[in-house]
Amino acid sequence: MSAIERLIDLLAAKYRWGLHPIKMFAALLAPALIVWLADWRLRVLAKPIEEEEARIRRLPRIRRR
Amino acid sequence: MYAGHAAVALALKPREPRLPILYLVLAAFGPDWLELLLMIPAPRAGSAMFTHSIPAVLIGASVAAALFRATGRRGGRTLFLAWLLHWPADLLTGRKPLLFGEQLVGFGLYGSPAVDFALESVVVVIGCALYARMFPSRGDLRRVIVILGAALIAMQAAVDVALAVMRDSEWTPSFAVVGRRSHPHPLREDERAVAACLHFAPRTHYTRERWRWTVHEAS
Repeated sequence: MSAIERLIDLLAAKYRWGLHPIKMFAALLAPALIVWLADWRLRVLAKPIEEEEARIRRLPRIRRR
Repeated sequence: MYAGHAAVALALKPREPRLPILYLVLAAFGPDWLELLLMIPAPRAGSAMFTHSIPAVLIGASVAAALFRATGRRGGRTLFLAWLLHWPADLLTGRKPLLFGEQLVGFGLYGSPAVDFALESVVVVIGCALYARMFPSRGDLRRVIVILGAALIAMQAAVDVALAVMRDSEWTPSFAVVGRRSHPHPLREDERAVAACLHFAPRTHYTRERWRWTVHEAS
């Protein structure tokens, strides 16, 4: 049994199942990670369009020069 | 509420597009994070009083907003709102303390997991729809938002299945456990005489107590 498994067993014995802090930590972290990951992916996907729009906005200035 | 808190963060994101979504989600779950911190030394009952009561939520939201503002970035008000909205969301699904007291208030929909799942799914859909308005309406972006919503709803389903299977729960909103009657129970013959005597007595606390005591003794 590894040290991490022993630690988890120790905590599981100390805390009741319903109030297990590790379970609660995972439950709180999971939605935050999912939302963060989706937001990052959306920003990555939307970036080329934003850059293109910025380039188009710059066009008249280039023409003036 | 579980996935609903993340949906609240998503719904608030268009208010402050430069504010990182991670901070918003952490703030929306803020009282739960505090409760977890209080659980680490030793699990104890009644810690919700220091994390989920109205004064605790107000203090937590103010501290979080002030700390964020101290970094010199904008969005402290939105963080405050995200933290604050935790309380009304939990009022629907759980039973939380109003003030620093023992009495818990709430509709307690965790006791009825199917209804809780339906409610939280609706909240997630609304949150995702509001969040989607930040981005141009393109297929690839929409797909990511749909996957996000589906993932949150799936997590909520897992929680509700666990609630239904493990607890064998029964719906007990706070209003049902308070010892009140919607209408008076019919009096028996022997109680009527006592009721008639006490009818004209001054309606003080003592009289009410005496009436209750007399009726109990008679029965």
